[in-house]
Amino acid sequence: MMNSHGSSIPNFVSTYFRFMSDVVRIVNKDGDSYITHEQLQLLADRDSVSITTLLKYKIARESDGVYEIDKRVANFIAFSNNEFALSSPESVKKFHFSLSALYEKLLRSTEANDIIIHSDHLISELRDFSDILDSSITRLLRDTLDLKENIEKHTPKERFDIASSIIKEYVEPLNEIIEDRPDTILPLIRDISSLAMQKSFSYDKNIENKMRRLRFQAKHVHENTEQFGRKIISELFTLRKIKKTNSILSGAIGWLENKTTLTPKGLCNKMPIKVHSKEFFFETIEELELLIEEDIDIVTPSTEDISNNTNTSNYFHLDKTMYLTALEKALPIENIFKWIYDEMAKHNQLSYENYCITLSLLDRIGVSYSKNDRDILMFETCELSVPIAKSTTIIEGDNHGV
Amino acid sequence: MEFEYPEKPKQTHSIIVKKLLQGEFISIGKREYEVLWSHKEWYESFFLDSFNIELLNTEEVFYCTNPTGGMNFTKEILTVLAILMYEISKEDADPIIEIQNKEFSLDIINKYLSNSVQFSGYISKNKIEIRFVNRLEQMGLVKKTNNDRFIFTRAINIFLKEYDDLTEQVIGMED
Repeated sequence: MMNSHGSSIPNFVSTYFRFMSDVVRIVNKDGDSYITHEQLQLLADRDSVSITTLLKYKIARESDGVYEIDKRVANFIAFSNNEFALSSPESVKKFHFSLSALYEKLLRSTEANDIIIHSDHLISELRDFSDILDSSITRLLRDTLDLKENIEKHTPKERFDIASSIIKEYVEPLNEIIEDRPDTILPLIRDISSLAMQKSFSYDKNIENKMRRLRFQAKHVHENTEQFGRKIISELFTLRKIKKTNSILSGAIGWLENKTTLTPKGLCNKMPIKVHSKEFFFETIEELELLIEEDIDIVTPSTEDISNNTNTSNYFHLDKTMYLTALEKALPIENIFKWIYDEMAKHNQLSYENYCITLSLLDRIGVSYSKNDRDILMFETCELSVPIAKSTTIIEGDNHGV
Repeated sequence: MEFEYPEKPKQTHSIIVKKLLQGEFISIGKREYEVLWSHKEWYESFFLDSFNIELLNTEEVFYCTNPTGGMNFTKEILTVLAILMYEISKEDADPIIEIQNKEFSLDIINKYLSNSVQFSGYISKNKIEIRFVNRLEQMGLVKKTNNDRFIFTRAINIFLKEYDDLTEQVIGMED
Protein backbone atom coordinates (compact mmCIF):
# COMPACT_ATOMS: atom_id res chain seq x y z
CA MET A 1 0.00 0.00 0.00
CA MET A 2 1.42 3.41 -0.84
CA ASN A 3 1.44 5.21 2.46
CA SER A 4 3.05 8.29 0.90
CA HIS A 5 -0.16 8.81 -1.05
CA GLY A 6 -2.55 8.17 1.86
CA SER A 7 -5.64 9.49 0.14
CA SER A 8 -4.85 8.15 -3.35
CA ILE A 9 -6.31 4.71 -2.83
CA PRO A 10 -9.57 5.85 -1.14
CA ASN A 11 -9.91 8.50 -3.84
CA PHE A 12 -9.40 5.91 -6.59
CA VAL A 13 -11.88 3.49 -5.02
CA SER A 14 -14.39 6.28 -4.47
CA THR A 15 -14.05 7.65 -8.01
CA TYR A 16 -14.29 4.25 -9.67
CA PHE A 17 -16.57 2.57 -7.13
CA ARG A 18 -18.80 0.93 -9.77
CA PHE A 19 -15.72 -0.46 -11.53
CA MET A 20 -14.24 -1.71 -8.24
CA SER A 21 -17.55 -3.22 -7.13
CA ASP A 22 -17.88 -5.19 -10.37
CA VAL A 23 -14.28 -6.36 -10.13
CA VAL A 24 -14.72 -7.52 -6.51
CA ARG A 25 -18.05 -9.19 -7.41
CA ILE A 26 -16.24 -11.28 -10.03
CA VAL A 27 -13.38 -12.04 -7.66
CA ASN A 28 -15.76 -13.14 -4.89
CA LYS A 29 -18.17 -14.98 -7.14
CA ASP A 30 -16.79 -18.50 -7.23
CA GLY A 31 -14.11 -18.20 -4.62
CA ASP A 32 -11.42 -18.15 -7.32
CA SER A 33 -10.06 -14.86 -5.90
CA TYR A 34 -8.98 -13.55 -9.27
CA ILE A 35 -10.22 -11.78 -12.40
CA THR A 36 -8.98 -12.61 -15.87
CA HIS A 37 -7.21 -10.04 -18.03
CA GLU A 38 -10.11 -10.04 -20.50
CA GLN A 39 -12.71 -9.45 -17.78
CA LEU A 40 -10.64 -6.66 -16.19
CA GLN A 41 -9.93 -5.01 -19.54
CA LEU A 42 -13.61 -5.04 -20.44
CA LEU A 43 -14.60 -3.29 -17.21
CA ALA A 44 -11.63 -0.89 -17.44
CA ASP A 45 -12.59 0.12 -20.98
CA ARG A 46 -16.22 0.59 -19.94
CA ASP A 47 -15.35 2.94 -17.06
CA SER A 48 -12.14 4.43 -18.54
CA VAL A 49 -9.95 3.07 -15.78
CA SER A 50 -6.21 2.71 -16.17
CA ILE A 51 -5.09 -0.80 -15.26
CA THR A 52 -1.61 0.64 -14.79
CA THR A 53 -2.89 2.89 -11.98
CA LEU A 54 -4.59 -0.09 -10.43
CA LEU A 55 -1.28 -1.92 -10.39
CA LYS A 56 0.64 1.16 -9.27
CA TYR A 57 -1.55 1.56 -6.18
CA LYS A 58 -1.17 -2.21 -5.59
CA ILE A 59 -4.96 -2.56 -5.55
CA ALA A 60 -4.42 -5.34 -8.12
CA ARG A 61 -1.48 -7.63 -8.67
CA GLU A 62 -0.80 -9.58 -11.84
CA SER A 63 -0.10 -13.22 -11.32
CA ASP A 64 0.30 -15.78 -14.09
CA GLY A 65 -1.92 -13.93 -16.56
CA VAL A 66 -4.74 -13.13 -14.11
CA TYR A 67 -5.24 -10.32 -11.58
CA GLU A 68 -5.61 -10.70 -7.84
CA ILE A 69 -7.23 -7.92 -5.85
CA ASP A 70 -5.79 -6.84 -2.54
CA LYS A 71 -7.78 -8.59 0.20
CA ARG A 72 -8.16 -5.43 2.30
CA VAL A 73 -9.60 -3.47 -0.61
CA ALA A 74 -11.81 -6.38 -1.69
CA ASN A 75 -13.12 -6.75 1.87
CA PHE A 76 -13.82 -3.02 2.14
CA ILE A 77 -15.76 -3.00 -1.14
CA ALA A 78 -17.62 -6.20 -0.20
CA PHE A 79 -18.41 -4.69 3.20
CA SER A 80 -19.67 -1.49 1.53
CA ASN A 81 -21.91 -3.49 -0.81
CA ASN A 82 -22.79 -6.22 1.67
CA GLU A 83 -21.51 -8.72 -0.88
CA PHE A 84 -19.10 -11.15 0.69
CA ALA A 85 -17.23 -14.15 -0.51
CA LEU A 86 -18.21 -17.42 1.12
CA SER A 87 -15.30 -18.21 3.43
CA SER A 88 -13.88 -21.66 3.17
CA PRO A 89 -14.26 -23.85 6.27
CA GLU A 90 -10.47 -24.00 6.38
CA SER A 91 -10.18 -20.22 6.69
CA VAL A 92 -12.65 -20.35 9.60
CA LYS A 93 -10.94 -23.33 11.18
CA LYS A 94 -7.58 -21.61 11.31
CA PHE A 95 -9.03 -19.22 13.92
CA HIS A 96 -9.29 -22.20 16.24
CA PHE A 97 -5.52 -22.66 16.03
CA SER A 98 -4.65 -18.96 16.33
CA LEU A 99 -7.05 -18.40 19.24
CA SER A 100 -5.80 -21.53 20.93
CA ALA A 101 -2.15 -20.43 20.59
CA LEU A 102 -2.93 -16.93 21.90
CA TYR A 103 -4.91 -18.38 24.81
CA GLU A 104 -1.90 -20.51 25.80
CA LYS A 105 0.34 -17.45 25.63
CA LEU A 106 -2.00 -15.38 27.80
CA LEU A 107 -2.34 -18.27 30.24
CA ARG A 108 1.42 -18.43 30.73
CA SER A 109 1.99 -14.65 30.79
CA THR A 110 2.90 -13.11 34.11
CA GLU A 111 4.38 -9.82 32.98
CA ALA A 112 1.89 -6.97 32.57
CA ASN A 113 3.22 -6.04 29.12
CA ASP A 114 2.88 -9.59 27.84
CA ILE A 115 -0.64 -9.83 29.20
CA ILE A 116 -1.60 -6.59 27.43
CA ILE A 117 -0.06 -7.67 24.11
CA HIS A 118 -1.61 -11.16 24.11
CA SER A 119 -5.02 -9.92 25.16
CA ASP A 120 -4.91 -7.27 22.40
CA HIS A 121 -4.10 -10.01 19.91
CA LEU A 122 -6.92 -12.15 21.27
CA ILE A 123 -9.41 -9.27 21.03
CA SER A 124 -8.33 -8.60 17.44
CA GLU A 125 -8.44 -12.27 16.47
CA LEU A 126 -11.87 -12.74 18.05
CA ARG A 127 -13.13 -9.72 16.09
CA ASP A 128 -11.73 -11.12 12.83
CA PHE A 129 -13.34 -14.47 13.58
CA SER A 130 -16.66 -12.77 14.24
CA ASP A 131 -16.35 -10.77 11.01
CA ILE A 132 -15.67 -13.85 8.92
CA LEU A 133 -18.76 -15.55 10.40
CA ASP A 134 -20.87 -12.47 9.66
CA SER A 135 -19.71 -12.22 6.06
CA SER A 136 -20.11 -15.97 5.52
CA ILE A 137 -23.65 -16.12 6.80
CA THR A 138 -24.58 -13.01 4.80
CA ARG A 139 -23.30 -14.60 1.62
CA LEU A 140 -24.85 -17.96 2.46
CA LEU A 141 -28.27 -16.43 3.06
CA ARG A 142 -28.03 -14.53 -0.21
CA ASP A 143 -26.99 -17.62 -2.19
CA THR A 144 -29.80 -19.71 -0.68
CA LEU A 145 -32.36 -16.99 -1.36
CA ASP A 146 -31.07 -16.71 -4.91
CA LEU A 147 -31.51 -20.47 -5.38
CA LYS A 148 -35.02 -20.34 -3.92
CA GLU A 149 -36.31 -17.31 -5.78
CA ASN A 150 -34.54 -17.08 -9.12
CA ILE A 151 -35.89 -20.30 -10.52
CA GLU A 152 -35.45 -19.20 -14.14
CA LYS A 153 -31.75 -18.58 -13.60
CA HIS A 154 -30.84 -22.28 -13.27
CA THR A 155 -32.22 -25.61 -14.41
CA PRO A 156 -33.40 -27.99 -11.68
CA LYS A 157 -30.25 -30.04 -12.25
CA GLU A 158 -28.07 -26.94 -11.77
CA ARG A 159 -29.98 -25.97 -8.62
CA PHE A 160 -29.57 -29.51 -7.31
CA ASP A 161 -25.81 -29.34 -8.04
CA ILE A 162 -25.40 -25.88 -6.47
CA ALA A 163 -27.34 -26.83 -3.33
CA SER A 164 -25.37 -30.09 -3.03
CA SER A 165 -22.09 -28.24 -3.44
CA ILE A 166 -22.90 -25.52 -0.87
CA ILE A 167 -24.02 -28.15 1.64
CA LYS A 168 -20.99 -30.35 1.10
CA GLU A 169 -18.29 -27.71 0.75
CA TYR A 170 -19.48 -25.04 3.17
CA VAL A 171 -22.47 -25.63 5.37
CA GLU A 172 -21.74 -29.07 6.80
CA PRO A 173 -18.03 -28.43 7.45
CA LEU A 174 -18.78 -24.98 8.92
CA ASN A 175 -21.44 -26.47 11.13
CA GLU A 176 -18.92 -29.07 12.26
CA ILE A 177 -16.44 -26.34 13.18
CA ILE A 178 -18.78 -24.16 15.17
CA GLU A 179 -20.81 -26.88 16.92
CA ASP A 180 -20.62 -26.81 20.69
CA ARG A 181 -18.41 -29.84 21.34
CA PRO A 182 -15.36 -30.14 23.62
CA ASP A 183 -12.97 -29.99 20.65
CA THR A 184 -14.52 -26.99 18.85
CA ILE A 185 -14.06 -23.25 19.04
CA LEU A 186 -16.99 -22.45 21.35
CA PRO A 187 -15.52 -23.99 24.53
CA LEU A 188 -12.23 -22.27 23.69
CA ILE A 189 -13.99 -18.89 23.60
CA ARG A 190 -15.52 -19.66 27.00
CA ASP A 191 -12.06 -20.57 28.30
CA ILE A 192 -10.71 -17.24 27.04
CA SER A 193 -13.50 -15.44 28.90
CA SER A 194 -12.77 -17.39 32.13
CA LEU A 195 -9.06 -16.69 31.82
CA ALA A 196 -9.74 -12.97 31.36
CA MET A 197 -11.84 -13.07 34.53
CA GLN A 198 -9.01 -14.76 36.50
CA LYS A 199 -6.34 -12.37 35.22
CA SER A 200 -8.41 -9.29 36.04
CA PHE A 201 -8.18 -10.00 39.79
CA SER A 202 -4.42 -10.28 40.01
CA TYR A 203 -3.13 -7.17 38.31
CA ASP A 204 -3.52 -3.41 38.15
CA LYS A 205 -6.41 -1.27 36.92
CA ASN A 206 -5.01 -1.10 33.38
CA ILE A 207 -4.95 -4.84 33.01
CA GLU A 208 -8.34 -5.12 34.69
CA ASN A 209 -9.81 -2.83 32.02
CA LYS A 210 -8.12 -4.79 29.25
CA MET A 211 -9.44 -8.05 30.67
CA ARG A 212 -12.94 -6.58 30.86
CA ARG A 213 -12.69 -5.73 27.17
CA LEU A 214 -11.47 -9.22 26.37
CA ARG A 215 -14.34 -10.75 28.34
CA PHE A 216 -16.81 -8.51 26.60
CA GLN A 217 -15.36 -9.41 23.21
CA ALA A 218 -15.36 -13.14 24.03
CA LYS A 219 -18.98 -12.95 25.22
CA HIS A 220 -20.03 -11.09 22.08
CA VAL A 221 -18.23 -13.54 19.77
CA HIS A 222 -19.63 -16.52 21.70
CA GLU A 223 -23.18 -15.22 21.18
CA ASN A 224 -22.39 -14.46 17.56
CA THR A 225 -21.03 -17.97 16.99
CA GLU A 226 -24.08 -19.57 18.59
CA GLN A 227 -26.34 -17.41 16.45
CA PHE A 228 -24.29 -18.37 13.39
CA GLY A 229 -24.79 -22.02 14.35
CA ARG A 230 -28.55 -21.60 14.51
CA LYS A 231 -28.65 -19.77 11.18
CA ILE A 232 -26.46 -22.33 9.49
CA ILE A 233 -28.68 -25.19 10.70
CA SER A 234 -31.69 -23.34 9.36
CA GLU A 235 -29.91 -22.82 6.03
CA LEU A 236 -28.95 -26.48 6.01
CA PHE A 237 -32.63 -27.44 6.21
CA THR A 238 -33.53 -25.00 3.45
CA LEU A 239 -30.69 -26.16 1.21
CA ARG A 240 -31.53 -29.82 1.80
CA LYS A 241 -35.12 -29.07 0.82
CA ILE A 242 -33.95 -27.27 -2.33
CA LYS A 243 -31.65 -30.19 -3.08
CA LYS A 244 -34.44 -32.73 -2.56
CA THR A 245 -37.02 -30.81 -4.62
CA ASN A 246 -34.60 -30.31 -7.47
CA SER A 247 -33.34 -33.85 -7.32
CA ILE A 248 -36.93 -35.03 -7.82
CA LEU A 249 -37.61 -32.43 -10.49
CA SER A 250 -34.39 -33.10 -12.38
CA GLY A 251 -35.13 -36.84 -12.12
CA ALA A 252 -38.57 -36.18 -13.60
CA ILE A 253 -37.09 -34.16 -16.46
CA GLY A 254 -34.28 -36.69 -16.82
CA TRP A 255 -36.95 -39.37 -17.17
CA LEU A 256 -38.77 -37.44 -19.91
CA GLU A 257 -35.53 -36.84 -21.79
CA ASN A 258 -34.09 -40.35 -21.41
CA LYS A 259 -37.08 -42.67 -21.34
CA THR A 260 -35.37 -45.24 -23.48
CA THR A 261 -32.20 -45.49 -21.42
CA LEU A 262 -33.47 -45.12 -17.85
CA THR A 263 -34.97 -48.06 -16.03
CA PRO A 264 -37.47 -47.21 -13.31
CA LYS A 265 -38.74 -49.83 -10.89
CA GLY A 266 -42.06 -51.41 -11.85
CA LEU A 267 -44.39 -50.02 -9.21
CA CYS A 268 -47.81 -50.79 -10.66
CA ASN A 269 -48.32 -54.52 -11.01
CA LYS A 270 -50.80 -57.08 -9.87
CA MET A 271 -49.18 -60.15 -8.37
CA PRO A 272 -49.60 -63.28 -10.49
CA ILE A 273 -51.31 -65.05 -7.60
CA LYS A 274 -54.88 -66.11 -6.97
CA VAL A 275 -56.03 -66.11 -3.38
CA HIS A 276 -58.90 -68.18 -2.03
CA SER A 277 -60.95 -65.27 -0.79
CA LYS A 278 -64.68 -64.65 -0.86
CA GLU A 279 -64.37 -63.26 -4.34
CA PHE A 280 -62.61 -66.43 -5.37
CA PHE A 281 -65.73 -68.44 -4.55
CA PHE A 282 -67.70 -66.39 -7.03
CA GLU A 283 -64.95 -66.66 -9.60
CA THR A 284 -65.09 -70.42 -9.15
CA ILE A 285 -68.81 -70.39 -9.72
CA GLU A 286 -68.31 -68.37 -12.88
CA GLU A 287 -65.79 -70.90 -14.10
CA LEU A 288 -68.15 -73.70 -13.20
CA GLU A 289 -70.96 -72.05 -15.10
CA LEU A 290 -68.79 -72.17 -18.18
CA LEU A 291 -67.86 -75.77 -17.48
CA ILE A 292 -71.41 -76.99 -17.18
CA GLU A 293 -72.97 -74.66 -19.73
CA GLU A 294 -74.38 -72.14 -17.33
CA ASP A 295 -76.69 -74.70 -15.81
CA ILE A 296 -76.09 -74.06 -12.15
CA ASP A 297 -78.33 -71.82 -10.00
CA ILE A 298 -76.98 -70.01 -7.05
CA VAL A 299 -78.93 -68.45 -4.23
CA THR A 300 -76.54 -65.69 -3.30
CA PRO A 301 -76.03 -65.33 0.43
CA SER A 302 -76.88 -62.00 2.05
CA THR A 303 -74.11 -59.67 3.21
CA GLU A 304 -75.06 -60.45 6.78
CA ASP A 305 -74.81 -64.17 6.14
CA ILE A 306 -71.40 -63.78 4.59
CA SER A 307 -70.22 -61.59 7.42
CA ASN A 308 -71.47 -64.03 10.07
CA ASN A 309 -69.93 -66.91 8.30
CA THR A 310 -66.59 -65.24 7.73
CA ASN A 311 -66.33 -64.28 11.35
CA THR A 312 -66.88 -67.80 12.56
CA SER A 313 -65.23 -69.95 9.90
CA ASN A 314 -61.66 -71.01 9.79
CA TYR A 315 -59.61 -70.69 6.69
CA PHE A 316 -59.88 -73.78 4.54
CA HIS A 317 -57.13 -75.59 2.79
CA LEU A 318 -58.36 -77.95 0.06
CA ASP A 319 -56.55 -81.26 0.15
CA LYS A 320 -57.12 -82.25 -3.48
CA THR A 321 -55.15 -85.47 -3.16
CA MET A 322 -57.38 -86.76 -0.37
CA TYR A 323 -60.59 -86.00 -2.28
CA LEU A 324 -59.36 -87.33 -5.62
CA THR A 325 -58.12 -90.56 -4.03
CA ALA A 326 -61.50 -91.10 -2.35
CA LEU A 327 -63.29 -90.18 -5.55
CA GLU A 328 -61.23 -92.63 -7.60
CA LYS A 329 -62.26 -95.42 -5.23
CA ALA A 330 -65.93 -94.41 -5.38
CA LEU A 331 -66.23 -94.28 -9.20
CA PRO A 332 -68.62 -94.39 -10.93
CA ILE A 333 -70.53 -91.70 -8.98
CA GLU A 334 -74.13 -90.98 -9.92
CA ASN A 335 -74.39 -87.53 -8.31
CA ILE A 336 -70.97 -85.91 -8.12
CA PHE A 337 -72.20 -82.63 -6.52
CA LYS A 338 -73.92 -84.57 -3.75
CA TRP A 339 -70.92 -86.87 -3.36
CA ILE A 340 -68.60 -83.88 -2.79
CA TYR A 341 -71.18 -82.41 -0.40
CA ASP A 342 -71.36 -85.63 1.64
CA GLU A 343 -67.61 -86.17 1.58
CA MET A 344 -67.03 -82.67 2.93
CA ALA A 345 -69.63 -83.19 5.67
CA LYS A 346 -67.84 -86.43 6.57
CA HIS A 347 -64.60 -84.49 7.07
CA ASN A 348 -66.40 -81.72 8.91
CA GLN A 349 -65.35 -79.21 6.27
CA LEU A 350 -68.72 -78.30 4.85
CA SER A 351 -69.63 -74.68 4.32
CA TYR A 352 -70.81 -72.80 1.28
CA GLU A 353 -67.41 -71.17 0.74
CA ASN A 354 -65.46 -74.40 1.27
CA TYR A 355 -67.82 -76.24 -1.06
CA CYS A 356 -67.22 -73.72 -3.84
CA ILE A 357 -63.49 -74.14 -3.44
CA THR A 358 -63.81 -77.91 -3.51
CA LEU A 359 -65.79 -77.73 -6.73
CA SER A 360 -62.52 -76.82 -8.40
CA LEU A 361 -62.03 -80.63 -8.38
CA LEU A 362 -64.41 -80.66 -11.34
CA ASP A 363 -61.63 -79.66 -13.69
CA ARG A 364 -60.11 -83.10 -12.96
CA ILE A 365 -63.33 -85.12 -13.27
CA GLY A 366 -65.20 -86.29 -16.35
CA VAL A 367 -68.85 -85.24 -15.87
CA SER A 368 -72.08 -85.92 -17.80
CA TYR A 369 -75.54 -84.78 -16.78
CA SER A 370 -79.11 -84.12 -17.81
CA LYS A 371 -80.55 -80.62 -17.68
CA ASN A 372 -83.85 -81.83 -16.27
CA ASP A 373 -82.66 -83.62 -13.14
CA ARG A 374 -81.68 -81.34 -10.34
CA ASP A 375 -80.76 -81.54 -6.70
CA ILE A 376 -80.86 -79.01 -3.86
CA LEU A 377 -77.91 -78.77 -1.52
CA MET A 378 -78.49 -76.96 1.77
CA PHE A 379 -75.89 -74.75 3.43
CA GLU A 380 -76.06 -72.62 6.51
CA THR A 381 -76.09 -69.44 4.49
CA CYS A 382 -77.70 -70.48 1.23
CA GLU A 383 -79.01 -73.28 -0.89
CA LEU A 384 -77.57 -74.42 -4.17
CA SER A 385 -79.58 -75.89 -7.04
CA VAL A 386 -77.28 -78.14 -9.04
CA PRO A 387 -77.74 -80.61 -11.88
CA ILE A 388 -77.49 -84.31 -11.04
CA ALA A 389 -74.22 -85.05 -12.79
CA LYS A 390 -72.62 -88.44 -13.26
CA SER A 391 -68.92 -88.96 -13.00
CA THR A 392 -67.13 -92.02 -14.31
CA THR A 393 -63.52 -90.98 -14.85
CA ILE A 394 -60.72 -88.88 -13.48
CA ILE A 395 -58.99 -86.79 -16.10
CA GLU A 396 -55.24 -87.39 -16.00
CA GLY A 397 -53.29 -84.45 -14.66
CA ASP A 398 -49.73 -83.84 -13.53
CA ASN A 399 -50.48 -85.14 -10.04
CA HIS A 400 -53.13 -84.92 -7.41
CA GLY A 401 -51.51 -82.11 -5.54
CA VAL A 402 -52.89 -78.61 -5.19
CA MET B 1 -44.57 -70.60 9.84
CA GLU B 2 -47.23 -71.05 12.44
CA PHE B 3 -50.47 -69.84 10.96
CA GLU B 4 -51.82 -67.57 13.61
CA TYR B 5 -53.50 -64.38 12.60
CA PRO B 6 -52.81 -61.05 14.17
CA GLU B 7 -55.36 -60.05 16.76
CA LYS B 8 -57.16 -57.83 14.26
CA PRO B 9 -60.34 -59.02 12.55
CA LYS B 10 -59.84 -61.48 9.74
CA GLN B 11 -61.89 -59.33 7.39
CA THR B 12 -59.15 -56.72 7.51
CA HIS B 13 -56.57 -59.41 6.91
CA SER B 14 -58.47 -60.60 3.86
CA ILE B 15 -58.73 -57.03 2.51
CA ILE B 16 -55.03 -56.40 3.14
CA VAL B 17 -53.97 -59.53 1.26
CA LYS B 18 -56.33 -58.86 -1.61
CA LYS B 19 -55.37 -55.21 -1.99
CA LEU B 20 -51.65 -55.74 -1.81
CA LEU B 21 -51.74 -58.65 -4.24
CA GLN B 22 -53.72 -56.51 -6.65
CA GLY B 23 -50.95 -53.95 -6.54
CA GLU B 24 -52.76 -51.42 -4.38
CA PHE B 25 -50.84 -48.95 -2.24
CA ILE B 26 -52.12 -48.79 1.34
CA SER B 27 -51.49 -45.32 2.71
CA ILE B 28 -51.41 -43.99 6.24
CA GLY B 29 -54.85 -43.05 7.53
CA LYS B 30 -56.46 -46.29 6.34
CA ARG B 31 -57.59 -49.03 8.73
CA GLU B 32 -55.52 -51.58 6.80
CA TYR B 33 -52.41 -49.42 7.22
CA GLU B 34 -52.85 -49.43 11.00
CA VAL B 35 -53.11 -53.24 11.05
CA LEU B 36 -50.08 -53.58 8.77
CA TRP B 37 -48.04 -51.13 10.81
CA SER B 38 -48.84 -52.79 14.13
CA HIS B 39 -48.14 -56.27 12.71
CA LYS B 40 -45.41 -55.33 10.30
CA GLU B 41 -43.06 -58.22 11.01
CA TRP B 42 -45.86 -60.74 10.90
CA TYR B 43 -47.05 -59.50 7.51
CA GLU B 44 -43.53 -59.37 6.11
CA SER B 45 -43.12 -63.07 7.01
CA PHE B 46 -46.61 -63.86 5.82
CA PHE B 47 -46.08 -62.41 2.33
CA LEU B 48 -42.65 -63.93 2.01
CA ASP B 49 -43.64 -67.39 3.25
CA SER B 50 -47.01 -67.52 1.51
CA PHE B 51 -46.28 -65.90 -1.84
CA ASN B 52 -42.52 -65.32 -1.92
CA ILE B 53 -43.30 -61.62 -2.21
CA GLU B 54 -41.49 -58.87 -0.35
CA LEU B 55 -43.78 -56.53 1.54
CA LEU B 56 -42.38 -53.03 1.06
CA ASN B 57 -43.13 -49.98 3.13
CA THR B 58 -42.23 -46.41 3.89
CA GLU B 59 -43.43 -44.59 6.98
CA GLU B 60 -46.53 -43.64 5.01
CA VAL B 61 -47.31 -46.53 2.69
CA PHE B 62 -47.31 -50.35 2.38
CA TYR B 63 -47.11 -52.00 -1.03
CA CYS B 64 -45.84 -54.98 -3.00
CA THR B 65 -44.29 -54.99 -6.44
CA ASN B 66 -44.04 -57.72 -9.01
CA PRO B 67 -40.51 -57.75 -10.45
CA THR B 68 -41.63 -59.69 -13.49
CA GLY B 69 -44.70 -57.57 -14.20
CA GLY B 70 -45.27 -55.07 -17.00
CA MET B 71 -43.93 -51.54 -16.84
CA ASN B 72 -46.43 -49.67 -18.99
CA PHE B 73 -48.60 -48.12 -16.31
CA THR B 74 -45.63 -47.21 -14.11
CA LYS B 75 -44.04 -45.43 -17.07
CA GLU B 76 -47.30 -43.71 -17.91
CA ILE B 77 -47.65 -42.37 -14.37
CA LEU B 78 -44.01 -41.26 -14.26
CA THR B 79 -44.45 -39.40 -17.54
CA VAL B 80 -47.72 -37.64 -16.61
CA LEU B 81 -46.40 -36.70 -13.19
CA ALA B 82 -43.10 -35.43 -14.63
CA ILE B 83 -44.80 -33.13 -17.14
CA LEU B 84 -47.21 -31.97 -14.45
CA MET B 85 -44.38 -31.10 -12.05
CA TYR B 86 -42.32 -29.41 -14.76
CA GLU B 87 -45.24 -27.20 -15.78
CA ILE B 88 -46.10 -26.38 -12.15
CA SER B 89 -42.47 -25.42 -11.47
CA LYS B 90 -42.68 -22.90 -14.32
CA GLU B 91 -45.40 -21.11 -12.33
CA ASP B 92 -42.87 -20.44 -9.54
CA ALA B 93 -44.66 -22.92 -7.30
CA ASP B 94 -43.01 -25.82 -5.51
CA PRO B 95 -44.14 -28.81 -7.60
CA ILE B 96 -43.61 -31.30 -4.80
CA ILE B 97 -45.78 -29.38 -2.35
CA GLU B 98 -48.42 -28.85 -5.04
CA ILE B 99 -48.53 -32.54 -5.94
CA GLN B 100 -48.68 -33.56 -2.31
CA ASN B 101 -51.37 -31.10 -1.27
CA LYS B 102 -53.30 -29.57 -4.15
CA GLU B 103 -56.64 -30.78 -5.46
CA PHE B 104 -56.56 -31.83 -9.11
CA SER B 105 -59.08 -32.89 -11.71
CA LEU B 106 -58.88 -34.55 -15.09
CA ASP B 107 -59.40 -31.14 -16.71
CA ILE B 108 -56.69 -29.43 -14.66
CA ILE B 109 -54.14 -32.12 -15.47
CA ASN B 110 -55.09 -32.13 -19.14
CA LYS B 111 -54.68 -28.36 -19.25
CA TYR B 112 -51.12 -28.69 -18.00
CA LEU B 113 -50.41 -31.51 -20.45
CA SER B 114 -51.87 -29.76 -23.47
CA ASN B 115 -50.12 -26.48 -22.62
CA SER B 116 -46.73 -28.16 -22.31
CA VAL B 117 -44.58 -26.93 -25.17
CA GLN B 118 -41.38 -28.69 -24.22
CA PHE B 119 -42.94 -32.10 -23.66
CA SER B 120 -45.72 -32.01 -26.22
CA GLY B 121 -46.44 -35.47 -27.63
CA TYR B 122 -44.97 -37.34 -24.69
CA ILE B 123 -48.50 -38.48 -23.80
CA SER B 124 -50.89 -39.69 -26.48
CA LYS B 125 -53.02 -36.73 -27.67
CA ASN B 126 -51.43 -34.69 -24.84
CA LYS B 127 -54.16 -35.74 -22.47
CA ILE B 128 -55.17 -38.49 -20.12
CA GLU B 129 -58.53 -40.26 -20.08
CA ILE B 130 -60.81 -40.84 -17.11
CA ARG B 131 -59.74 -44.50 -17.04
CA PHE B 132 -56.26 -43.32 -16.09
CA VAL B 133 -57.62 -41.50 -13.03
CA ASN B 134 -59.87 -44.44 -12.17
CA ARG B 135 -56.94 -46.78 -12.24
CA LEU B 136 -54.95 -44.41 -10.03
CA GLU B 137 -57.85 -44.53 -7.60
CA GLN B 138 -58.01 -48.33 -7.72
CA MET B 139 -54.33 -48.45 -6.90
CA GLY B 140 -54.75 -46.09 -3.96
CA LEU B 141 -52.69 -43.34 -5.60
CA VAL B 142 -55.48 -40.77 -5.65
CA LYS B 143 -58.50 -40.19 -3.45
CA LYS B 144 -61.65 -38.61 -4.83
CA THR B 145 -62.76 -35.52 -2.94
CA ASN B 146 -65.91 -34.26 -4.60
CA ASN B 147 -67.34 -34.38 -8.10
CA ASP B 148 -64.46 -34.97 -10.45
CA ARG B 149 -61.76 -33.71 -8.11
CA PHE B 150 -59.13 -35.73 -6.30
CA ILE B 151 -55.96 -35.44 -4.28
CA PHE B 152 -52.87 -37.60 -4.53
CA THR B 153 -52.41 -39.90 -1.54
CA ARG B 154 -49.17 -40.28 0.40
CA ALA B 155 -48.38 -43.20 -1.93
CA ILE B 156 -47.45 -40.69 -4.63
CA ASN B 157 -44.26 -40.05 -2.64
CA ILE B 158 -43.04 -43.45 -3.78
CA PHE B 159 -43.14 -42.21 -7.36
CA LEU B 160 -41.45 -38.95 -6.36
CA LYS B 161 -38.75 -41.00 -4.68
CA GLU B 162 -38.41 -42.92 -7.93
CA TYR B 163 -37.45 -39.67 -9.70
CA ASP B 164 -34.82 -39.21 -7.02
CA ASP B 165 -33.40 -42.62 -7.94
CA LEU B 166 -33.61 -41.75 -11.65
CA THR B 167 -31.50 -38.64 -10.94
CA GLU B 168 -28.81 -40.99 -9.62
CA GLN B 169 -29.06 -42.95 -12.86
CA VAL B 170 -28.72 -39.75 -14.91
CA ILE B 171 -25.66 -38.72 -12.87
CA GLY B 172 -24.26 -42.21 -13.42
CA MET B 173 -24.80 -41.85 -17.17
CA GLU B 174 -23.00 -38.49 -17.16
CA ASP B 175 -20.05 -39.96 -15.26
